[in-house]
Amino acid sequence: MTVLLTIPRAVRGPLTVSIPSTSVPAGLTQVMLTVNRFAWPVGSRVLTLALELSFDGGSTWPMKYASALDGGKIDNKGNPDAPSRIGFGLNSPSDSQTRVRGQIVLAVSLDCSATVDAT
Amino acid sequence: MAIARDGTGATKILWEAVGNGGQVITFTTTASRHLVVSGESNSPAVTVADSGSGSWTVKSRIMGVGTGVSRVFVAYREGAAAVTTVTVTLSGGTNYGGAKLDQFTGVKTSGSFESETTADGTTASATFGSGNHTTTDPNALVIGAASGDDTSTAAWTTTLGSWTELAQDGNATTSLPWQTIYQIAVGSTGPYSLTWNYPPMNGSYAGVSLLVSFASAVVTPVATYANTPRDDELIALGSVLGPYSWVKPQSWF
Repeated sequence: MTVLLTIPRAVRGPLTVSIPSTSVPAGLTQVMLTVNRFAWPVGSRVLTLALELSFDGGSTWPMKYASALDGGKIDNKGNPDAPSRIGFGLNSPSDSQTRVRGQIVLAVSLDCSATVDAT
Repeated sequence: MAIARDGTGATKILWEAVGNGGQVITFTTTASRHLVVSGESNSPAVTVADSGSGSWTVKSRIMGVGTGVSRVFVAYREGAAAVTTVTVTLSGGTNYGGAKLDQFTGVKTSGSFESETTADGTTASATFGSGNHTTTDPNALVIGAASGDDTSTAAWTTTLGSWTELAQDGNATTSLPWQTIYQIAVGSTGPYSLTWNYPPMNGSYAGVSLLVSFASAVVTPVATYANTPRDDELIALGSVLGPYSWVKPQSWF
């Protein structure tokens, strides 16, 4: 796994964190955005994650995946602080023109960190 | 026009601990396509919608052995206008899974759904059968989806044969591995089947399988004549269609 970008743990928000356009190393097939939550207050759409993919060096961004999360939910293993992850499995391995960018929207003040990685 | 897959579709999306709500895929499809979203989630229910307010139908199967945490699904929209987003909506708490959006040409634009075949594996068995799926149309599109549970990051090793993989997630990111496939029938109603193979299957669970078929838009041609055919035309037709018998109506003499 190659970590492309890290946003260190801090209490932030409400705010929007932009994940800048970042090159994906060639030959990889998956790009993921992970947000590790150290608190998870109840609420509607506490966190919204979005990732975009470019296959032409950033000229166009034809693929986007956005996911809105309600706070207070626990995962199916009973862990409220499990990291939330969204991402893409590429139809063909990345090349020198593959780039990723994204956005994290915090609707409330939240203790969290984030990484973007590729495998 | 025979059924064909149009490109490779959107890249698959993967989610882990994302909770309820919409998983929004932004991807511009081509007009007049049969859109298919196939995948898996532990969500009690899955619904699909798009930016064109189109009507989606979801066929799904929840794991029948173990605690039933995994649901495979094949959602479709017939003859869709071009759309820019497709939203998969989950429910029931924190969700794990993934999905892939694909588009096909040549599928019937209404009433295309034929039937579905579901099957369950047995606990801790890495391989499990899909059951036999017989299509109505000998040129139908057959889509399959399967899931299991594990504690590994290994990939699916299903022998595909005449099937083509749409997507798989071997649990590198989610706790519920899944695989989706398709096959376009060529002049045969089958039966179609395969043996799914996921070696690290968790001992507490069993695999779950879903096969769904859609009829093609191909209409069997019927020879019609605006005018009475001449003998040489009938002979020419016979040379194409093979041996035939023909009795001229009395009015032709």
